[in-house]
Amino acid sequence: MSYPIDELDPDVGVIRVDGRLNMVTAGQLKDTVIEAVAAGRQRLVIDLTKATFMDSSGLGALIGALKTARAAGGDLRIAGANEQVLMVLQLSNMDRILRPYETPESAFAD
Amino acid sequence: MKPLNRPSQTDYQAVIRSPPETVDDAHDFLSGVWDQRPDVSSAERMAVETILSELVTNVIQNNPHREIFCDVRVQVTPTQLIIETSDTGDEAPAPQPDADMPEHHAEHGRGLPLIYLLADEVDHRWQESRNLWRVTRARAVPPPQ
Repeated sequence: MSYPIDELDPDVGVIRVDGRLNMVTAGQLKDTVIEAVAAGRQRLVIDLTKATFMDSSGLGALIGALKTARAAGGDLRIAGANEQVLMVLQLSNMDRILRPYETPESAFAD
Repeated sequence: MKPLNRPSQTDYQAVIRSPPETVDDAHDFLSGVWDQRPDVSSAERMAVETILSELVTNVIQNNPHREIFCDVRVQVTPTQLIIETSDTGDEAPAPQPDADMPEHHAEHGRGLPLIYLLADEVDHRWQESRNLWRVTRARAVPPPQ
């Protein structure tokens, strides 16, 4: 099962995560990103607006997804993280690698 | 997921049997605890949920291809939040309190460092063929009136 992917613009796909991002769903996210990259999408946003929780398994999936996107010459960014997700990103020092953006629209605005 | 007993006002317990249950059952158990304890702050809930998720995930991941039982206990006192698990899995490696986060590209290995960052005390023992984890976090002291 994959997460839904929306098109933000012709270059940017948005993967919308819903619920918990943990060992139960980590593989689903990684598979979704692999499929999106294989389909030619190089720039991806993981929209965490509806993600209620993330632990180190979920963070590992985000890192794997980032590696997949960059290996294909693209990039991956995250947006809409709640307080708990931000806490995990900050404690693990991964907020410097996976900089959290407020909205999917702002993730590739630079 | 089977509740072990009728919860008291401070002590909440459940048993997770995996498979078929998953770490999601630990989250669902905690949701029930929070429903009964509106005094636990958002920051405390985030810490406890993250700690418990990491503990239960480790038990399940360390024991692939076999059934495990993991007793889960959360105690909420005026001064402490105590998270305990007791599982029937293989003996877990001794935790390293001063272990750093792995390098940025690593996809694994952040669970225990996260627990140590969120907790004030972490204790692991191997006793009677069970891993016993006890993780304690002090609660914020309310300001004087």
